Amino acid sequence: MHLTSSFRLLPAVALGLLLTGCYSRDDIKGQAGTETPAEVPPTEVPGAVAPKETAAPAVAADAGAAGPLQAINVFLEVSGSMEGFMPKTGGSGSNTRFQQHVAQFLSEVNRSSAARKTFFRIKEKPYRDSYQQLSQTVRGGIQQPASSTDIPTVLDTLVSGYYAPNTVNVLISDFIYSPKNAGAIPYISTDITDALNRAQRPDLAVSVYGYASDFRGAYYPALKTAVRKINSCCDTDIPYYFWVIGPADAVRRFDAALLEKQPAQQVHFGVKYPVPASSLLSRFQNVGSWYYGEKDASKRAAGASYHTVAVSSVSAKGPVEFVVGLDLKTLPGLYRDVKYLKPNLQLQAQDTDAKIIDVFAANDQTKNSSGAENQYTHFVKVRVTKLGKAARPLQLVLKNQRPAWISQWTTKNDSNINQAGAKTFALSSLLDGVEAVTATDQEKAPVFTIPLTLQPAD
Amino acid sequence: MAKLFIFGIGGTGSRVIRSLTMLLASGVKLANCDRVVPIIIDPDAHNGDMNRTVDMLKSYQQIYQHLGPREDGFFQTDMSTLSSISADTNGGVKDTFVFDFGGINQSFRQYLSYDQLSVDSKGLVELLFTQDNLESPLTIGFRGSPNVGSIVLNKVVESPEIRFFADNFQAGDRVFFISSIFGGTGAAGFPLLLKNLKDPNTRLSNAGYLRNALTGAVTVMPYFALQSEDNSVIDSNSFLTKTKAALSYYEHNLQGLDALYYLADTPDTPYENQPGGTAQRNKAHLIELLAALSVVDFMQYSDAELRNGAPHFHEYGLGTDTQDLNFSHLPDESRELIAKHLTQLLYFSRYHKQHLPTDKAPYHDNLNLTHALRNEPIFKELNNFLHSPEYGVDEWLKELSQNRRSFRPFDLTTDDFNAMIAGKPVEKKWNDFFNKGLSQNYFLNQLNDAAKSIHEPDSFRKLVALFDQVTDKAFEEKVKVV
Amino acid sequence: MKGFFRFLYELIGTPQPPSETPVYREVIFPNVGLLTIGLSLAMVLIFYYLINKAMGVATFNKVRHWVIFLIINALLAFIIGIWQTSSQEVASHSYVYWMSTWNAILGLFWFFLFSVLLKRGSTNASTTPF
Repeated sequence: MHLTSSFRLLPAVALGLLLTGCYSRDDIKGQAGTETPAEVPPTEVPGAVAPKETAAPAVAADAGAAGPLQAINVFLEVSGSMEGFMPKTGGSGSNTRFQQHVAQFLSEVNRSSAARKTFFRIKEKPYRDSYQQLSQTVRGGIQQPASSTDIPTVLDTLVSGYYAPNTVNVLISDFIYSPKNAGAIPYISTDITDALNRAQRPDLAVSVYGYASDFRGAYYPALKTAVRKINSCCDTDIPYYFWVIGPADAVRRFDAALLEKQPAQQVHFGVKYPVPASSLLSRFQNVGSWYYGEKDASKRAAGASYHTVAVSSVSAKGPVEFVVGLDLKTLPGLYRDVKYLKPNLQLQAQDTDAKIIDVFAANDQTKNSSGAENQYTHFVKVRVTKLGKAARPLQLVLKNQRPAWISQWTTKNDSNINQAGAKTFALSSLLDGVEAVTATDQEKAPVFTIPLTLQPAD
Repeated sequence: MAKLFIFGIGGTGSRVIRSLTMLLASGVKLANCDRVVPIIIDPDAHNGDMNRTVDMLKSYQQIYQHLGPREDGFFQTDMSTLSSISADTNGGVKDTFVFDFGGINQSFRQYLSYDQLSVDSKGLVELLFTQDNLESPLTIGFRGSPNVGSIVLNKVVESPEIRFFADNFQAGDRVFFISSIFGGTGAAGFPLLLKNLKDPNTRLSNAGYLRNALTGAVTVMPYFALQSEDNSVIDSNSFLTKTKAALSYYEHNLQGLDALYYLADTPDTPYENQPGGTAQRNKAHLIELLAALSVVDFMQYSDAELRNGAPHFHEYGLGTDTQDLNFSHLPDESRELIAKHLTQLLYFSRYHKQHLPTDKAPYHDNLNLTHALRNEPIFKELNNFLHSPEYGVDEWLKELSQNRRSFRPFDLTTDDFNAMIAGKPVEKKWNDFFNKGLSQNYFLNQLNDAAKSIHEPDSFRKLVALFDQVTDKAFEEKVKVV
Repeated sequence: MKGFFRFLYELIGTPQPPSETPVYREVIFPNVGLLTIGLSLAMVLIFYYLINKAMGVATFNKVRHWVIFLIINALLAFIIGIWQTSSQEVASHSYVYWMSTWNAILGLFWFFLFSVLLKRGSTNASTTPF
């Protein structure tokens, strides 16, 4: 974040004020709906998504009881480095995708059912704005670019001053962290960790959403060894991020409500998810001689779930294949992506060669089926050709693996950003710092663990 | 153990005993005695009526002996031959129901040793007997000639049979005579036998018992006519004359009789004129049945009743004078006595013939009837008794219905049990699908039911007991009254 | 009891498809087994005690009549098998028909067994079938 001149922003402010005066909330909604239908469906209202969670057990239950979030604080960085995202409106009348997206997001927050919605501009410290003011800033461009405030300080401020139960803080920034000198680079992650850890929030969670936008203005690279700034940048898109910071439960619900459908790269730290509903499916793509081992499997209660596989006969030539249905609706999009699930879903077992042979998402056929598979969004197919003499636990684990996009979006040198592409300096290191705070154990907690039992038939 | 000695004299005697046997077989109760000893006195050893009566008696006896004494039901009364009442037979008495005349196969002339008689005696004989009387062979009886019979039968008293009879006569035993008044043997034999048994000077043993024994008799007056044939020795036109003469004799010469039953009817259809021999086999007649009832009636009186004001005279009157009688034409007393029992016997006989051999039912298996009917003599005997064309129950009922007057209480042509009692069909309830009245189903069901409740190891005894119970129930439930 | 019926019905092999095993063992076998025993008992009672005793029908006691009941019993037992499996909505498989056929055979057996045990009490069919 860099200091930038503010005088160029004046026409944008004038236009912004004019626009504010001319638009009502309904108009904004209508405009947003017509202009960006693909990106943001107008039906995306936080209150409406709450019922989705009731399907999930455990955590979802108290989440539902908690009602809407108490408070949402939105922090928008308005330093000079952000000017390229929010250029003062020129004669062309075209805006950046950032403007389009963030304005839309702010509108949604403002419309959300949270009790209190507060909007801040981040300069050297957060300054409170009204929705209209902040929205005007996004649309009209930054009038007075702030001098840079470095990321650890901002994070420290948020965690210390704005952290509250049932409250989330959304920080919108390019997250270009410029260390004081080259020697400080290896300590980026430590700086972040220290900043987040200062307030000792035990259930701190951070969700990071990455976006990219066209950028029209001066680009201030983090590494200033080559150039201090690149004017009239950029030929490439520049990434920007939403960091959602707050207690784990609040972050999870905010993710689910407001960011559910945001097409974005995402990564979550410290967010705890309810174990998704799951069940063995005895009538769906099952192969070989096995059945539900539960005592009451015969009752066929509606919505009952089964987790015990009783195998009557199995061999290398006659393998058993069973499918576990998973309802991942309550998880963020990241964890619903088959591309993520395939490498990260793992089976932990003893005395058996059970292994996952396929993971796939629900399709029209499964959704419209009359069988139990219609309740599930994803399916895991497991093959067994041998098993132990007695019942053995079998665990289906989704590892919390850092998604690949993070390293792809990370660069060690952003001084030649047009060649490097849409990347952010030391993004991995930033997130390493976050992870160090939210991960309590040495080993990263899995997203969920579904216990199964594999036993020979009696 | 009181006995009843029945002297059935002549063809009429045989025929009445036949009817009596039928009644006893049907279960009619004979009061005041445990045992009936029929003695048929007929010099005509080949008489058809007598022979079939004897066959029937033998059959009855075998059946009774197998069944043994019982309180009621079919064949409840013991009928024995004279010789069987005591083990000590002196060797001279044959085990038969028939008095043994010792083969009188000579003419009356030879019997009297006419040729050795003095001239005076010959003259007396010629006065009393016609030439025809003298020349006729005694083997066919006295052919309506009491004057001949009285001579011959007088000798009966000296026979071993009568001595045996007297030897075994006990206090309380009763005697009954059955005879026709218009024939030869009966008209002559009855007063003679009576006189000899009651003779104060008799040389027979137990004379006192004999004299004091309650004695009854039925005398059948003419009830049939014979076809007139020019050369026949018997002329039914002389029946009335003979009856008249006999009655005037009876008026003064029947001593020691306690009850006398008179039966008579006006003849209608003439019988075929057969003076004797196997050809004298007349169809059973209502009169004979009524005569048999006189035996039943006689036994129903207690000793005191009979002795008080003896002798008693009885006549019989029908309820309605008709040529075709059924139960409703009988006086109430008679109807109550025989209607139910005869109906039971008919049901027994009909079911026995129509269904018993082919039934496939638990009672049938229980009694092992498939085997028994084919192999066991006693079952065959029962079959004979019921269905013999000579002397069977079926035949007897048929004859009764075909005679004049006809006694036709049953429709013998139908297979439907419901319609068997003439004029009294069993009511079938229209609204009860399963109540078919007296269907084979009804009998089957009852037989199966009874077969479970009657505990009797002997299958023949059980069979008779079954049918006794079932026909009784059928009558009480379905027929109720006739 | 479930074990008994499981033994009885698995004499012809384990349920197919295997995924339906619990519902067969826990629900269908006991239900079908009890229903079939009940049916056979009822048919025997009808034949021996209703028709051939209470109703006094004496001409419906032949072996052929008994065989009619026997066959009706078997057909109903087959239908019970089909009915119970379909009411439990098991996956369709030819095993349903094998199981029902086996049940019909068991129905024959039960009917015969009850016949032998109870025929004595009947009036008109106490010697049927033998």
